[in-house]
Amino acid sequence: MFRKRKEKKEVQLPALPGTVLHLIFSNLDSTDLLACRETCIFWNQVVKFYQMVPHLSEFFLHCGGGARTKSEKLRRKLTRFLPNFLLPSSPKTLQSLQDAYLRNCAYYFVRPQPNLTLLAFEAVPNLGRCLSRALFDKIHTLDMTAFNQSKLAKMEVGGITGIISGMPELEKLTLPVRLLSGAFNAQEAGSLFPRLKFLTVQLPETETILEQGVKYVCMLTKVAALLTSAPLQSVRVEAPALRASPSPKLKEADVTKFLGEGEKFLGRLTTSLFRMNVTTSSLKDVTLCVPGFPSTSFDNPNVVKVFEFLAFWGLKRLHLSVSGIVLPPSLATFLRTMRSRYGCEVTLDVEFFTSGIRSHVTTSESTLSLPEVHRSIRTFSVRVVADYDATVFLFMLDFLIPFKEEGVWDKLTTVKVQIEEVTPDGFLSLEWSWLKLFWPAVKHMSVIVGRPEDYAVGGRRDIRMWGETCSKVNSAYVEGVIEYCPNLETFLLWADLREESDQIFVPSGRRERWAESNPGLRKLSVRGLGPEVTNNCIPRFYGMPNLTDLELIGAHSGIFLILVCLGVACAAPTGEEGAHAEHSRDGRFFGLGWGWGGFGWGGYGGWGGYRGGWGGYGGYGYPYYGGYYWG
Amino acid sequence: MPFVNLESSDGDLVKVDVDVIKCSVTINALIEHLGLEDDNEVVPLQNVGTETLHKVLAWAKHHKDDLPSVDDDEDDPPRERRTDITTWDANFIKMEQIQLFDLILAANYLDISGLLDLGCKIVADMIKGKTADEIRTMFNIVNDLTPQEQEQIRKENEWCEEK
Repeated sequence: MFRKRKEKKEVQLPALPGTVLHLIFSNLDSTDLLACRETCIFWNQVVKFYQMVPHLSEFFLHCGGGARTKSEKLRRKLTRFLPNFLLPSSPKTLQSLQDAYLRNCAYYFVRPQPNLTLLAFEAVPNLGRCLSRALFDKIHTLDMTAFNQSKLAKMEVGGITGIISGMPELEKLTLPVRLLSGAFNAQEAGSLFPRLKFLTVQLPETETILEQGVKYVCMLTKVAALLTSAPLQSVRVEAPALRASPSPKLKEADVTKFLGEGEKFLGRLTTSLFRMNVTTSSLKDVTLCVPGFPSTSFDNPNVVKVFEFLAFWGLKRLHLSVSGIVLPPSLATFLRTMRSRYGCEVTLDVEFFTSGIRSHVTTSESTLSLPEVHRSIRTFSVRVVADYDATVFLFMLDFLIPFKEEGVWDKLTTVKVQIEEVTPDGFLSLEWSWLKLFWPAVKHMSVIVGRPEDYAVGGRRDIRMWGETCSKVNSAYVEGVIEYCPNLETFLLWADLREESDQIFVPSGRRERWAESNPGLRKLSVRGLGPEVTNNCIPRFYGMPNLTDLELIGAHSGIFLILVCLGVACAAPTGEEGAHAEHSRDGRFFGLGWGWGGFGWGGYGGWGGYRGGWGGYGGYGYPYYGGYYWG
Repeated sequence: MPFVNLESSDGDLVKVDVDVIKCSVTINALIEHLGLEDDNEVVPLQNVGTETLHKVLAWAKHHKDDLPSVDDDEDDPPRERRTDITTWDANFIKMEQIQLFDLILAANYLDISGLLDLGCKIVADMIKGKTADEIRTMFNIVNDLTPQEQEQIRKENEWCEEK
């Protein structure tokens, strides 16, 4: 950073680390900080990294009226207005605003004429005060997703009513459910949202909801209040995926208990809803993406009545995520009733918990042999939670997939299989040659043997995963899966593939480049490969314009080595030393690196490509089994 | 009174009172963890030259009776930087740029927050009111920003400058 200038006095100033520069910059005001940003790359990076300028970020501003330069005057007016919460100098200013974008800033404006979208990226304590009335009147979309992550969110909770009530044109609203609690009562809902058509409510993790059941019943009742009064057309309720089980294995009993708690919660909620006499005539779409929603809930007549009630009032599309150890016949009955009696199409994301012992009996013969259910399933997840079947040496994945028949799985686009544990010394077969025939529409597939955290970069693996007692996956069919699914966009296989090398990916003989069989593949992630993974396999992926993420990650004797770059990633053997980097064919950076006794990652694809030159960190080592840090 | 021998990167040994150097978190930790009880034990400081080490010790000796700073809490806002510089400190810190930078690096390495704050404040004062070109000239910084990057930064800065 500090380099000698020949014409100056010969003084070589030492480079100051970023932490020290941060301290120095802490003594500067914003004007001086901006000058520092223009000094050199490193100083700019320090200012940005520590977010030292409050409203500094990537942004663009696009004003209407043709070329941007023509709107220079207008833009300058807006720059006064937008980041500093000043009133626009004239109504015409707003009229000309087409779109503006400020990441990490207070607002995110997009203005497809004649409406204006506002997405709050960060919570602002005085948001309600700082936006002008003229702007409020134009806002039709408010996305408060960021409030879920922001530390400042707590400061904003009390003010949500003031913000929303000042937006008479609001049509789309996305916000965490907790912001709705206390924001308004049921009688106010209609006046607060006279034009609200699309509502997305974000729930916390399902475990949190169940832990604080009564509290969330009240919150969701608020959502229901909107259904009674606002002219909603679409409601989406979503929650993040279930937390990883803290115990090494998720026991089936735990799952049963969890689902039981969920049913109790739903019982309380539906009771509350009936008390409110929920009715609506405008609601057409409802989506409930709540992991852990028990499939057996449809044994409860109250739950069924809620949905039937909505369908009676005009609901046309219902999408549900359901989880269960079994998929009960009541679910099939519910689907049939909704379709035939009310003309409401129901689609499902199914998360199916099973144990290895019963997997090929329960799933294939009774639990899922329900054609009505199959035809509605869009996402199918199987999670084998415990108790492998010691008598089964060869564990076929298609044991889990019953009812293989043409035309039944037409809507299925996503398949996820996670097997917590399978037969020791056994093999797991990926023989899915029937995929093309029965699952023609599958776009996303993931198979994980073990827990995802076992494969986390830098995580310490359960030694059994790589020991002699672990079931092995036969990966000979990896390419088959890719080739049999012409529509496949993402494929993730994390398993014990240590006996495999990159030969399965190296083009040879009849093995052609995958571009010819599956040009649409966007992401391929294979973790758990053996030690002999090199960049020889890269040509296999040439000519795949959509491939943006490729991970081939090897594991060897408890030492894990990963090499990732933006465009292409590859694994390399351990026990050697060195690093090199080269450009991939499309100009992205391709990196390899390896180190002593640790694992390394390298490639820095974006950075290297951005600078347009050589680079690529050979590897950053992380301490592992007494490993040595280097980078 | 216990002493400790500090070895500079130039190989020179400097005997110093432990009470004087207690302001250095790094040396304190070394003494505690390595169990340096013998006065003849040497603490190698590979990142600190002899001249800089003497300056650090001079500062530490002068401030050895200062109250220790309160530990920062991660959740708290950034601590207030000292805004006042005593006359002694002002005279002490008068030195060439390269010495100043070495001193800052040494303070950072030895984890002496008071000295680090002082050095950073002095550098910040040197930056204040200057343009990017002037800063580069003053610190011999090579402008490695591409014209596109400079333009992008300028655009972003315009948003922040307009108030």
